[in-house]
Amino acid sequence: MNHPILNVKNLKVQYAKNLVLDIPELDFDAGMIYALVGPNGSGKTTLLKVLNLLLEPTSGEIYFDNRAISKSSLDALEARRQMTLVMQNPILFRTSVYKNVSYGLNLRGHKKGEMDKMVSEILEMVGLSGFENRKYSELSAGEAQRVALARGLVLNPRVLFLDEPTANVDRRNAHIFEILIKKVNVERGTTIIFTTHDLSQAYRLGHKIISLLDGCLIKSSPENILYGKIDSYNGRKLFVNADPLIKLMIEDHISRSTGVYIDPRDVIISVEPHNPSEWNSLPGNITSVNFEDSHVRLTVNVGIELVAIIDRDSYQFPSDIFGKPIYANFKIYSVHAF
Amino acid sequence: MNYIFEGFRRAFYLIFTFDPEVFSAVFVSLRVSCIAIVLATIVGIALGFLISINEFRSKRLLITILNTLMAMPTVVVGLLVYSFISRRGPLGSLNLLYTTKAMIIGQFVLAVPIITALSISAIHSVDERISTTAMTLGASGRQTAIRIFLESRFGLLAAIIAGFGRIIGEVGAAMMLGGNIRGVTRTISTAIALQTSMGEFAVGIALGIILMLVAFLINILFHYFQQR
Repeated sequence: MNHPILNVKNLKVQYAKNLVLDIPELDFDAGMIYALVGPNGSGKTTLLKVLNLLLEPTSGEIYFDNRAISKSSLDALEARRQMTLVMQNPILFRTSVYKNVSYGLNLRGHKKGEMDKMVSEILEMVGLSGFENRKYSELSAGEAQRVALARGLVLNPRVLFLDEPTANVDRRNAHIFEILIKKVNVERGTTIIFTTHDLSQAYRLGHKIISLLDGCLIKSSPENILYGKIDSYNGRKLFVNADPLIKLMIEDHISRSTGVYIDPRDVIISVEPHNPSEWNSLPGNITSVNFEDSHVRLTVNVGIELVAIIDRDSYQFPSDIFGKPIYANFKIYSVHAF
Repeated sequence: MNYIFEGFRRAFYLIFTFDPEVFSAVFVSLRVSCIAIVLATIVGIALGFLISINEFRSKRLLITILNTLMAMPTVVVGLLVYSFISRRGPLGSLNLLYTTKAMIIGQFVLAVPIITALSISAIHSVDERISTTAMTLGASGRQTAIRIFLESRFGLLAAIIAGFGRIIGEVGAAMMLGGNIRGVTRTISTAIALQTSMGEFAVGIALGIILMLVAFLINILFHYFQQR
């Protein structure tokens, strides 16, 4: 049974008068990989910084191993030394690769011989064997990113935070990173919490996906978001997206909301529309199909792009489905307000 | 024109024969300026660090004042220190006037604002991700400050060199506070002023050449560190 290594309660972060993070409760179990997804400005990086005790939240508690900690508490350093964060645009210290990678080990009082061995092992792991004496200025962007990862990994942290680990690297390096992330999790049992824009990456790597929208947790991946207003017609409550005009039936209790989202796993594609008393059925056509490990990602143009995620086993469309008229169906209760 | 060529010829002769008059001034200059720069470095960098990493009201005003003090005329500094250490001044009983100690104080006062102001800009130019990175890797507050210090090392060295460049060739404070006593408080620059006024061009030119060489070396070092 996994136990939560980190959890937060009633967490709020406010800049000036803007509430950028508002999370009533969130647990992270030891040994799992969590993907934090959400659009720009949804609070992903802020959450990582709060969890890594780099940023003091406006209010709320953080528990590490069930012990309350905060940036300013006496044992903050001890807790911080069991976690590490690799930033989206990491910066290397103006010195050699060896001194960069051994920096954290040095702070923890490791002996030189021990450090030599650990640095050489970790550099081999990230594919940079023999780079010890290179200067920071002699590295390519991809190599620098891998040195930054090695600098965090060498500490063998219990929790590893990665902020957009593959945003600034080419495809080949992104692939190397993904393999490394999985390897570190499996071999060392490291809890990994990473942010990403790439939802297929989130599904590929994450055991669990956490979605943030405007600083709040939402129950699906942050796709299929519509903005508009609530209206009613013939006694039914509708959510109306003005441009392009899309009307969705919603549950009666939803009121005063300017945005809704539909979980991609709740979207069903069919050739005929579903029963209109319980389902929203939007006509459109398929624009892309991506086969992932266990599922298929479809994008459907219904005026806007909707994403549907279907189990690979139940995917049964012919290969010439592109462009043909189909319906994207989802139940009325699958439309969530935020 | 002939007397200039003659001056240069004799100047080289004085340099290569290690003329005691010339080299005594060189040694006094180097000794006074080196001690002053070491003291100013300790104070200036510490102040620069404190001002950079702390946020307080009137920080901007303080930095503006420091930048102004960087251009403070050397005679004004001479006058200021003189008023404190002359016999009637508050520190008169220490008998510092016309000693190398007085000159060290004057040069220290000249160099501190330069080193402080340039240290502040060197530390400010360190990427703010450096301190976050150090913290993510487990650095305490003190260890983070050391990392920032190490990252700004080239800028700090440039600050020290700029301070040294300012004091090694100054005349005003050295003349007023040291009194230009032969063999004791006579520096390269005060010797040049005196020898020239006495018509001793050769000694003046010899000292001028040495001073230029020192300034040249300082500038080479300064550019080297700035480009790192």
